[in-house]
Amino acid sequence: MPVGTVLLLVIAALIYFGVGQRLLDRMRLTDTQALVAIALMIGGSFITLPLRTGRTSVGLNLGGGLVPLGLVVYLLIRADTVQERVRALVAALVTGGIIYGISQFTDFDPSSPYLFIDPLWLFSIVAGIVGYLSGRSRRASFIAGVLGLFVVDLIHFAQALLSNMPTRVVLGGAGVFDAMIVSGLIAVGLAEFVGETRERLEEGGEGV
Amino acid sequence: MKHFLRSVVVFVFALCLFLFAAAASAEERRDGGYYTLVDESGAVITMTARELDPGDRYIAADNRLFEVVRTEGDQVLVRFVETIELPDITGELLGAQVAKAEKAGGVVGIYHTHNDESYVPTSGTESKDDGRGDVLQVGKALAAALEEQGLTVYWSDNSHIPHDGQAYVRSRRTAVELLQKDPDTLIDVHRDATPPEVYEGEVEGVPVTKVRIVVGRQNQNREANLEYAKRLKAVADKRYPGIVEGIFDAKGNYNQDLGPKTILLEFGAHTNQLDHAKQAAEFFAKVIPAAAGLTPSTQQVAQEQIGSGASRSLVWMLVIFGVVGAVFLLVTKGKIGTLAGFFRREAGLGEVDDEMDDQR
Repeated sequence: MPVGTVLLLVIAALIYFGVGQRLLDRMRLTDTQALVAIALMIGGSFITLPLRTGRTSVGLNLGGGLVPLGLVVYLLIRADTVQERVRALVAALVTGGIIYGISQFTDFDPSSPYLFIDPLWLFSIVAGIVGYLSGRSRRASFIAGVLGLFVVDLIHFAQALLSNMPTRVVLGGAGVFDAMIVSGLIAVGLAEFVGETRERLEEGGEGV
Repeated sequence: MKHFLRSVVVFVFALCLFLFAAAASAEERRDGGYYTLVDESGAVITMTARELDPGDRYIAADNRLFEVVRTEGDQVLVRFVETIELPDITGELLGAQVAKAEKAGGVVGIYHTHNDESYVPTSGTESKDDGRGDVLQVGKALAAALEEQGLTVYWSDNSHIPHDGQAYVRSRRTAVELLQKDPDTLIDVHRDATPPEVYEGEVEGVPVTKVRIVVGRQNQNREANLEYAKRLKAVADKRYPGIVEGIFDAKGNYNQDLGPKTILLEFGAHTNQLDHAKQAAEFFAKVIPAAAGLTPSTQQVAQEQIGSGASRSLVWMLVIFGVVGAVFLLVTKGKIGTLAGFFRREAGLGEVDDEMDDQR
């Protein structure tokens, strides 16, 4: 493999994992815990547990599904108030609803007239905005990002079961590169960026 | 009260997004119509169902690069930019000809994001609800023809239906599964939705559908994949002139952020015949090894050419990363001068002044 290609792959991975670790570190995780979380996401990417076989099959990837969902549960448990938990969960439901709604209007194909941004990035931005608006916190954004995509997968699963659709639902199946994680991380980054901007504009806020 | 207001804001935002999507949907053409790309002189360049936006680019079969200026009714006005130079592959192919017994070696992954896609003249439908669309047979034909040349092929018929906006998120999971087989190239096989004549072609006297190559430009591998697409066209133009309809340098990602040499191929449109698409797949299978550098005589040059694209991708990625980082610092700290301190803190080497802030 040529040097340029190797460097591109290695540096892209370093940026993704590095920024990911720093973003997780922003959410009541220590440096080490954030590093372990990223390592578990990477390592777990290679393992998918089959939960249901047949015409509509279901699986759960450890790195792309179980680890981020575990993080979400941890963040919900560590939340200061019941309201904070409720807000985060409502944000996740709203995010899931919006993403599902958008995905029914267009297939984002090259021939789609509404393709101004790839769905992967669009869904992440939706999660970031909804999460931030609901709780003005990075944690709510992460929860909205991860759980929002999870909700969409659940809707897909319910749809498939009801209509006996021959399809696969692999929660977090793309491992550390799954939309659930990408969406969660971009949502946190966006919340960080928006929050910091707002603080600067207000001059003297006490945190995001 | 404050929380209530915030909830209202969330709701209004959600509503706005839905209305935006609904408005967009209302504009969608469902009359079977299509757009014709016309240049400054009025000449027809190609046709597409896609509503193109100003700035979109298209490399035509004759290597002329066009950029969309505006849309008027059913016509999309494009501006001729330049005639691009495809990679020179004459020497490589000559080398392969001399070494007649040259055998290809490598791994190819093939999958179908839209596994329902079908060909109306063959099956009477453009989409099969059971997820066993005709396009699977095209991918299978491509896989078989690649295997005949000595390549190891992992072909996935995983279902990602329904054919909605989540299909690429679902097929991303299949793509990553295939990437774990360490393929040299990963191909997402589709069919397009245009009038039949756009894709009707003939190679060596055999009727085929033409093939359109799609590169997603919203990811860090765009330059490398565009270089790969140009190599595919260059080899195809030499071996089977006319088989490539063009290269679409499109908005979107198509899971091509997952690696270089990940590509999307459209074999004909729903209005063409399945047999012609399968025939095109068999021809195109003989293009892929040389383009991807999977034969001894093409390996080095392919690596250099695609590697040069990767290097450009790398520079772009670092520039964007740097700009985003600088803007973030400007916003958070008010000046870029804190760059060293920022990296010290992020690397855990310096003060952790906003540790508490991070925990919110």
